[in-house]
Amino acid sequence: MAEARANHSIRRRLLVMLLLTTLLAWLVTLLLSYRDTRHELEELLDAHLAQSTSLLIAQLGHEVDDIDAEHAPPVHRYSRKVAFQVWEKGEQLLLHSASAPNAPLSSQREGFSDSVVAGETWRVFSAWDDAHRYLVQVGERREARDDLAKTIAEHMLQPLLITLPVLGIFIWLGVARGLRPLNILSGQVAERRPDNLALLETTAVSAEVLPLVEGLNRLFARVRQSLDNERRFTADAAHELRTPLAAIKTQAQVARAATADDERRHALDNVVLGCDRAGHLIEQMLTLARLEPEQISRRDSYDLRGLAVAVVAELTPVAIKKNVELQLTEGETVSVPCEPGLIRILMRNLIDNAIRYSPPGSVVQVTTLKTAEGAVFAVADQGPGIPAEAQALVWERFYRVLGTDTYGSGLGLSIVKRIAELHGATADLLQGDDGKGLRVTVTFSV
Amino acid sequence: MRILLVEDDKLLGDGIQAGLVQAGFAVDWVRDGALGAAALKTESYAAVVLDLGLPKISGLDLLQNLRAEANAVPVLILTSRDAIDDRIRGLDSGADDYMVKPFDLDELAARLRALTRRSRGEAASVLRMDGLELNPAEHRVQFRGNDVELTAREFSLLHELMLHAGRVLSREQLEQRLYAWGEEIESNAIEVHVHHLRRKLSPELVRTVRGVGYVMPRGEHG
Repeated sequence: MAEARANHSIRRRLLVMLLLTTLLAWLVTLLLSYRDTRHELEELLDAHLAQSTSLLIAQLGHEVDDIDAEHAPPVHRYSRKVAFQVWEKGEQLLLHSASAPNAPLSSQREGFSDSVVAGETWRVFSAWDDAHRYLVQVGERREARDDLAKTIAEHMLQPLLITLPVLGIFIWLGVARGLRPLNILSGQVAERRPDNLALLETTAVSAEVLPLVEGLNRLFARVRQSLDNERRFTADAAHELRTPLAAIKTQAQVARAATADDERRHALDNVVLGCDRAGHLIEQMLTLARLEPEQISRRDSYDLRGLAVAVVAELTPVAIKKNVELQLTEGETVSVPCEPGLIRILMRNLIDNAIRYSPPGSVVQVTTLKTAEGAVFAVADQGPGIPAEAQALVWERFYRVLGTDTYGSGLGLSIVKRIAELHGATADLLQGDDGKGLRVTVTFSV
Repeated sequence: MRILLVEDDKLLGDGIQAGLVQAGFAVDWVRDGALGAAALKTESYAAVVLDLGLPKISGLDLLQNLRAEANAVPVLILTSRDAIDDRIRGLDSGADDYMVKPFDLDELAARLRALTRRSRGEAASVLRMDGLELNPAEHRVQFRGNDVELTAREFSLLHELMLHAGRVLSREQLEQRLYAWGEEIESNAIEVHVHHLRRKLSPELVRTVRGVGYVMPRGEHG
């Protein structure tokens, strides 16, 4: 399940991130305190070296010969890593510890120094007695100090190695607990029946999950609205087809029962007419249903006038048949970013409407022009116009101004409006040019 | 029988008119509610076929006005809305029957016959009198057991006379019930049809009441 996989990845990522951060913080702390410790250790041991040297020098004043350093038993295992040498005049090795080499511990004859003697690294303190007769060198093997530091570091690391896995387990469980609201939500959504578009509860939801729930709720609302629209459209469409179907059936029954040829022919002609009408209605419904925003994702610019010329040419035979004069007034090229196929449908619907509602002998004028508001496509006729009270309603689906002899699907202007909306254009109804008829304008903001 | 059809759709109205004429009705067809109301004020109809989506005055308003004026003419509504609410509203507004588009023309004619029969308080659909039998649905007339061939107009005339047996009907009343608007009526048309009926059936069947009209006497023939 996709949700589960996503949840796991959040969990794992949080675990890894938290563990790494903890580890890093810990390691930095360790490193810093290790360095501090090491530094303090050096100082402490150096101080010991210096003090041992001073003690030796203090002894030298009395009985150098009595000191049997050679056979002194090692007091502590650590003492084997410490050595001293006493040089007379700085040249002759007068006295030394068992662990000391024969070569000088350090070439430096004063203060602290580091040296390598016979492959061993030494930390050495050198000092002269007051008479400047004896040179005393006390050294300590570096290795000893390193071992000590290593032991300290190991002791510091140990708790980390134990607590890190424990911490990991706690983080794992904690994240799971933190993600529980998400799991509950995904359960709620997964259990839904497809027709259940009720909004999700938002009151008991944690702040982080709330945006997701709200987003889902907005989606549910949108889906429900589009479902409602679709349902209403289907109902309207079925309803609108009833009258043409009733007419076809009635005329067919009249034709079947007719005894006279004239009567039968008249009824059959009406059957054909009724089928044309129903066909036109279906075509318009499909056009409207197919108008989706995706259709105009790609927007190249096209010349409105060029498109208008083509549509006017296409509809001229219809106009001639109705004895209506169809004119395209002089105008300039007006480029508009649009989907040309849809704009042709828009133009065809407007011009076709104008021709349908025009009385014989009248003029339908098609215009394209540029105005301050943008590019305008306009169709004006000298027909009956649209009563003021119906002007807002004609854009609605299946609305027809009643009482006209003209048959229409009631969808033409809805299609025009939808196409205009898809292009961000506005469609307006105005009174005709000399106070009569109708002028429809579509304004594309450029 | 004369029917008023109020239907704004041109093709459907034309079809219903033609179909009802075929079924033997005289049909006046108007295409908006205002004309329908005017027709109902001036003429008397056996029944009204009423579409609901009408210009000027809606079908429901027309119906309510009609009932408010105590006009009891049987009304059958045609509706493209088949939701129960719409039907209930139609019937509650005073409709006697309804049909949902697309409907069957023969059924429409049958329902109209039933409506007019019920409005006269009759139960039987076949009219019987003195050896005469008239079946409105089948458009058949039998006299003393034999089929009689009648023209559509003769059939309608006989139907009207039988429906109002015992009552004198004037020539104008008969013309009004037999002819729709715009139908050509010869001045002596009714006389001619009565003459044909007497010839095809029996001379005594229809009596002339001089200066008044015609009557079909009730229960004289044996």
